[in-house]
Amino acid sequence: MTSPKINTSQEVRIRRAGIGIPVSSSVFFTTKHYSMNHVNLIGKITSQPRFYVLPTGRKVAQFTISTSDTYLDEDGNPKQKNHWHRICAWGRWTKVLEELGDVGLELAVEGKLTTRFYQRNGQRHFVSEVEVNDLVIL
Amino acid sequence: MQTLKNHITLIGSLCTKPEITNFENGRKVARFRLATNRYTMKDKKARVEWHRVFAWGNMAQFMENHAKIGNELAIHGRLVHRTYLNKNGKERKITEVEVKHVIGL
Repeated sequence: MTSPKINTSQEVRIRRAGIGIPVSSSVFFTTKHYSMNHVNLIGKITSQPRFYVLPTGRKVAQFTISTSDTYLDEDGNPKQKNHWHRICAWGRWTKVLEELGDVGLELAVEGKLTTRFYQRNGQRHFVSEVEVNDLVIL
Repeated sequence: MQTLKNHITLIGSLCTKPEITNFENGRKVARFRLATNRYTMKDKKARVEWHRVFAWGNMAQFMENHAKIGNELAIHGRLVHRTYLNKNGKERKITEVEVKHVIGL
């Protein structure tokens, strides 16, 4: 696997933020930089999981999970708002989802937030997804 | 309890200056981006992930007064999705993190 290409404006931002630089070559940072990226979601599957096989042979499953929160509006009436989260699962979780994944299944997902982009009609579309690390069927 | 079902923790460094917006009703929001590192087993290099983050009220005030580019932050919040119109008038979807709690490391 080759490291992703980084354009110059991104490079500047990395340097400004002071991360992504190998620690040994950094003048400013002598300690290791720790970071954390952790997401927990509990909700229902709202779309039939779709499975893709990449040219490298890896399998990926994509689906959405909805969570709802209740809040009070200006008049004090309880209201509900739904959020649909895009989830992608790699490796062994695709097997589980192929067997059991269906609309309406209650799930608890633990993973990390990742952003990728794809080109369509010459335009870049950015997509944020939650990459599954652990999954529990409720 | 709201964040029990929809919970996100990020520890990383600030990579943009917080943009502060003051609303007419006195509320305040700070929008900024947080960078987290991600290491893969195959190559030891870090891949950087940028997250869009926004904070309301007192947290926005804190960000305005104290946060500088490169500062390490730990935040706890929830994932929200919204749509906006871009320069060409097209609808775009984005995912953001709404801060519930923030500490500077």
